[in-house]
Amino acid sequence: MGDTLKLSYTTALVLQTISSGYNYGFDIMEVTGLPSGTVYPTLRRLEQQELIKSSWETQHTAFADQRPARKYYRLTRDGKGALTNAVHRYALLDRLISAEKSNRR
Amino acid sequence: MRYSTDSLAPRRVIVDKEDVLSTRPLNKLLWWCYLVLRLASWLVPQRRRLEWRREWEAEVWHWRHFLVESGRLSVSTEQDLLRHCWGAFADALWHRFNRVAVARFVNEFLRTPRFCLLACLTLLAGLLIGRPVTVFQDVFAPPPNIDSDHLLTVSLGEKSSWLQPEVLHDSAVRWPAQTQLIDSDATYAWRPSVVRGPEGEENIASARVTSGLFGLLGVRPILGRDFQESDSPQCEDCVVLSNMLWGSQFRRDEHVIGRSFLLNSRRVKIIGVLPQFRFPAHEIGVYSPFGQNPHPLLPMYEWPGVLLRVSGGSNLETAKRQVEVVVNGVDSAPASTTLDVLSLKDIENQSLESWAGLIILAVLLLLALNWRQFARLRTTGPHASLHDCLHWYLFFATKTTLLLITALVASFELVQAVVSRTNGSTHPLASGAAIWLFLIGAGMAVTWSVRDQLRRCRTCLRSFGVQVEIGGAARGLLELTGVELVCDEGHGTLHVPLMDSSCVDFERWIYLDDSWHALLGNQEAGISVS
Repeated sequence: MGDTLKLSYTTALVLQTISSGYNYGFDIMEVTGLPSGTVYPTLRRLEQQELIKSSWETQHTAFADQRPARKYYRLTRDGKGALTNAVHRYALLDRLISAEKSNRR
Repeated sequence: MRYSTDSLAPRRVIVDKEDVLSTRPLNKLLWWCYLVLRLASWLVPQRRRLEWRREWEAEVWHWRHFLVESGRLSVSTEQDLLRHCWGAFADALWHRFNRVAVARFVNEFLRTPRFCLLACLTLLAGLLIGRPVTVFQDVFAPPPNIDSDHLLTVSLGEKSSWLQPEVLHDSAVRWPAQTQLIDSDATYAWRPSVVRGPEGEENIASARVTSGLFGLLGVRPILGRDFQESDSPQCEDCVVLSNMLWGSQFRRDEHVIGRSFLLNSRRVKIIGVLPQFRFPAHEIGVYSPFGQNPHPLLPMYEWPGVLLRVSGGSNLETAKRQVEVVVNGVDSAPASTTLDVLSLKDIENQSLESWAGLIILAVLLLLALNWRQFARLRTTGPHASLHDCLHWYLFFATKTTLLLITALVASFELVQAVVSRTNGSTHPLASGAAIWLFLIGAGMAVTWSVRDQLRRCRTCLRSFGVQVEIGGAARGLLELTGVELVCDEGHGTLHVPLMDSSCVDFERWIYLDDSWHALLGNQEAGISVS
C-alpha cells in the first residue's frame, strides 16, 4: 500500500511529524502550524489507510500524572514506506521538521 | 489541583478552594470549548461519539494546561484554543461523510435490489411527471364528455356486402319509429382522402356526418361552429377540422375560420375546429356535411355507420340486442347486408384486447428469443427455500414489469415528440411506429432484467461483488474452469463454466456454510464505516 500511495504535501507533513515523535493532535498542530480542522481529518484518513495506528494512553499512567488520557499516533510499516516515498518526492520535508525540532529545544 | 478519575475526565476539573478565583476565567473558557465540542459531537456517528469526544476533550485539557504552565495564557491564545475547538466540526463531518465510507456505502447501495427498483421507478416517474402520456390518450382514454353508457354504433359486419351510405342513412331515419329504445341517431361515412393545405399534401381520413353527430358525442367545437340542418344544401363546401389537422396544416392558427384548402381536389371552407377526441370508427381529419356526395360513388371505398343514443332507462346490453334485431330487419337493410351493433365500451374493449394480444405476442416473442436466459434463470434460481424462491421471482417480476411499462411509455412519448416536431400534432401512423419501438424496447428491457437477475445472490438479491476466475482456459477438459461470482454477504457463489455446454461442468449455485463467515462476515473490522 505504502509503495504505491501518493500522499499530498499536508498528509506527508503530518506523517513526517508523527515520525519525528510528535504523536498527538495538539503537538502535530503546534509543529506543523496546520489548523485542527485539517490535522484531525488527516489523522483519521491516515489511520483508515493503515499508515498510522492510534492507541490510548493507559488510564493508570494518566491518573498518576493527574491528567486525562491522551490518544497517541504512531506510524505503521506501511506508513514508514509511504513516508520514505513522500520524503523523496518532497525534498524539503525532512529538513522542515528537523528545523522545528531544534527550534523547540 | 486534582484531576477527576472519571473516564470522561476532562469535562470535570475539581479545583481547590484557593484556586477558584484564579481559575474562573479558565473554567469559563473550558465551558465554551466543551460546549462547542458537544455540539460537534452530534455530527459524529453514535457508536464513535464517546471516543471522539474523549480524544478532543483531552486535547483541550492538555492545551489549556500547557498555556498555564508555560505562562502563555492570553486573550489571543484563548481565542486560538477556541478556534481549535471549531475545527472539531470539520473532524466530526469527516466521520459522518468521509469519502471512503460514502464511496463504500454508494457501492453497496448500488448493488442492492432496493436501488434497482428505485432506479426503475425513478425512470418511469421521470417519464410520467408533468407530461401527457400518449398511450393513455390514444388507447385507453375515453373521448371527452361522451356518454358511452347510452351510445351504440351501427356499422357493416365483417361478412356483409357493401352498403351505400345514403341507403343506410334512409334506413336509420326510420329506426326510431320501429323501436322506443332509440332516442336519436346520426349517420356518418368515412373514406381515405387527400388534403392539400398550407403545409402541403397530407393523407388523412375524412367523414361526411349528419348535423346531430357531434351533439350525440357531446363534442363542441373549440373554434367556430359545427354543422347545422341548413348546411347540407346551403353550405356543401363547409368543413370542420379535427384537432390533429388544425395542428399539422394550420399550426393551431386561431384565425383559421373562413380559410380554405383542397379536400380531394375540391376547395372547402373551414367553419370550425374540434377538440381532441377519438371518433368511434376511425381517426378523422376533416368532417363535411352529409349532403349530396360530390365524389363519384366507389363501392367499398366509403364506409358508412350510424351512431344511436338509446333511451335513458334501458340497459345497454339489452338495448344492443334489440337494436340489432331492428337494424337487421327485412325493412331496414338489404338481405346481403349485415349490420353490427356495438357499444362504445365494446370498441374500447376491442382496442384493449388488441393491445393485450399484442403484449402477449411480444412476451411470447421475447420468451422465444431469450429462452436460454430464462432457462438459466430457472436452473440457477433458488429451489431450497420457499421464502427465497418467492423473493427471487417477485423481485424479477416487479423489476421487469416496471421496465416494460417504462418502455411502453417511452416509446409512445418518443414517437409523439418526433411527430409533434415534424407535423405539429398526432399522426395515425404514430401509434404503429410506437408499437414497433415498444417491441424493441421491451426486448431490451427483458434481456437486461434477466441478465441482471442472473448476477444476483439467491438469498439477499444483491449483485455479486467479487468475481473469481478459476482454472486455466488451456486445461478446460481436465479441471473446472470458469468464473465464480461470490456474494459479499457470504450466502454462496455462482459457478459459471467457461464453456456454455459441457458434460463435466455446468452452471450452478453453491451455498456457503457457516465456516465462511469468519472470512466474509466481518468486513468492517479493518475499515471504519460511518
